Amino acid sequence: MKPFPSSICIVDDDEDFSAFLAEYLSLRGCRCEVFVSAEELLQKRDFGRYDFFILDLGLPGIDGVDLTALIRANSSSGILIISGRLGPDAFNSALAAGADMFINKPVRFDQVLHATQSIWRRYGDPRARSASWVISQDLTRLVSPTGEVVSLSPYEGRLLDHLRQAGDEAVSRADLAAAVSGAGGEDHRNLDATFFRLRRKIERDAKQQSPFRTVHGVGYQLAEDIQCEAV
Amino acid sequence: MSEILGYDIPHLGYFFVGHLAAFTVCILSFGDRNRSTDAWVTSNILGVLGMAGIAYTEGNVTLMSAIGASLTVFSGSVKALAFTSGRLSRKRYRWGNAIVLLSVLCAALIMIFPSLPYRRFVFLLGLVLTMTASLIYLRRNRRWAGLKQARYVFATYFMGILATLGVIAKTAFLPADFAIVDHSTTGTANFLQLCIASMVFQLVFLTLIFGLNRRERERVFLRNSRLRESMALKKAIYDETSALSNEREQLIKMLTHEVRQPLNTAQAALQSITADVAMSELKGQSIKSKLDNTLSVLNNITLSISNSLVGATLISSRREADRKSVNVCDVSQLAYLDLNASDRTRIDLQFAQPYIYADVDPIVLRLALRNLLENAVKYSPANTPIIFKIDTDEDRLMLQFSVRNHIIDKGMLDGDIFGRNKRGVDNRYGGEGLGLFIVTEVAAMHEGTSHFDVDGNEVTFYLEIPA
Repeated sequence: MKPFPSSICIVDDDEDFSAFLAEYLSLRGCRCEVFVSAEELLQKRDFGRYDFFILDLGLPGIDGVDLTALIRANSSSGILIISGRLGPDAFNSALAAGADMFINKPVRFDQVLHATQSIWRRYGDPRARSASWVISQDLTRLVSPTGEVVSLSPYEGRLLDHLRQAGDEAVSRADLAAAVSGAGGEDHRNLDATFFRLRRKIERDAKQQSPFRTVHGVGYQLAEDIQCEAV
Repeated sequence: MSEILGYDIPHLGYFFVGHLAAFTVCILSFGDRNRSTDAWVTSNILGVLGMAGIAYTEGNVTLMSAIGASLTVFSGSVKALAFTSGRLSRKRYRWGNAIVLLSVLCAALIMIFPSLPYRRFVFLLGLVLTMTASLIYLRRNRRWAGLKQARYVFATYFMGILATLGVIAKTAFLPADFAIVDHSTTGTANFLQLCIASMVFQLVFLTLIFGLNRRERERVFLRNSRLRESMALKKAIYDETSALSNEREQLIKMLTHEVRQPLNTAQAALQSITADVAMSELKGQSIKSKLDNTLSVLNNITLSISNSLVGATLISSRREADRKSVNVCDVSQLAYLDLNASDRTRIDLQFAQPYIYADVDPIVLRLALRNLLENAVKYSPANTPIIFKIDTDEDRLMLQFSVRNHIIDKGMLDGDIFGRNKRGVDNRYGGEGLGLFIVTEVAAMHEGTSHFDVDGNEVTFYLEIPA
């Protein structure tokens, strides 16, 4: 995998900022193209030309959220949003549309560089978006979409397998504890501690976010699909 | 004179007068005075006078007994008025008024014509009419609507009417000149019935008044409760408006002192650079130093503006943390990169691992961490190290962000340093005192905590959030 995107598309109506940013990023050896509106970019209709997109939310005409959704529908490239808009609506809508990271202004070029590198490390490999997590038949190994292997204890393996079988449904702590260890009760601290450790282990070994998430006040739920290893 | 249970009519008269007096005292003592109670008490006084005429005179035709009987009927008429709202001209009272007038006519006939034929019938008819008028007033006056005690009064009066009609039927065949009150055994028994009926009427009226008073008290209580709620709401609106007004004032103050002045300084620095560039003998190092200085000033301005925006909008409005699963190491790195490049060299980043995902609000978390780092730079001796750590606490299932630095003056840690607009000790240190307030608010938004430890000449600030 290349250490840095080789072509970056910047869409921002602040032409001065975009020009300075393009100049800064070009020093990293990549080709940058600047557009002042979504319409200008869409005229080219060739999202595949770019490894990475840096977008502003407050664009004239088609706004940054819609543009993000359009790009995500046609490309698996990394998308970084830079915006001065505060509040949950901007943040949520950008991420929901498919952006990988949101940075609020004021922002410095070295922060843009760091965010770009971070996203690139995570999603630079095309498998990161297209492949699934895989758990081994004996529940002792979890393989990330990009091929990193995480070893699992028997307890962790059973927990993940139970979550996998539940599909998109959130599983309560009580159900998880009962299904995996046969122990009921109200105190699920051990269960939470196991998930806490497992999360850290996956982050450390797979270098990405764990495929499950906490559902506050309920239990846990798969955030990404986990396939069982084929025999 | 005949007796019933050893009592003749004069003795029963004592009982009659006694119970009227007792109930009158009760009504005056326990009930709130109003037109109804006034009418009832007046009627009781008339009843006592009437009873004196009836019970303590003998003979078939006497002026005293006629006056007594007349006053007794008239007393009933006044009692009926106790059930009205006072405004008798209202249309809904017309039937009651007509019947009361008929009862008054009966009373007048008895008084004017002591030897009136069938005077006993007229007397009893007068009583029936007063009770009938009472029932009509009771039903027509909305004041009694919904009171269960009104039903008791209605039932009592209705039974009184039936009983009196029974007495009328029994005495229908008596001679035309029969006395209104005879002292025979039957007459004494009738008088006893009258006494008992009167007592029951007094009792149910008393309960009616109590019921009314209770309902009035409940209404007053409800009204007061609503008033209190309304006052509380208005006070909350007032407080919120005042808080907003204060926010604006703070913002203006901040724009004046924290933005305009530093911008002016930056202008000066840029002017100086321009002058340097104009001079041929300038040195590169001189320009770099001035540019660093300018960047530092602009950096402080953006921090002040960010703090004020977050302090005045996101946190003051007590919005919930907008959590997303993000790599807190990235957020921390962004906060670190918010600092001046020259200050970053002092900071040693020690993250437990490069990827730590947690459900956080990255915008406010970045600002909180930046404030911790800026404070560490600002309040520590130049060139001393600063350690910025992220640890995972498996025992408490927490993420712990910590910033450790040497300290210039321990006195700046006295008092409530996490409070709003609270700075170290005094104005020796700049800023608006929003930094640590934002840190503690961000911790609270994430159900976490913030605190600090002092160890010798070093202080460590912690921001802990559950993960």
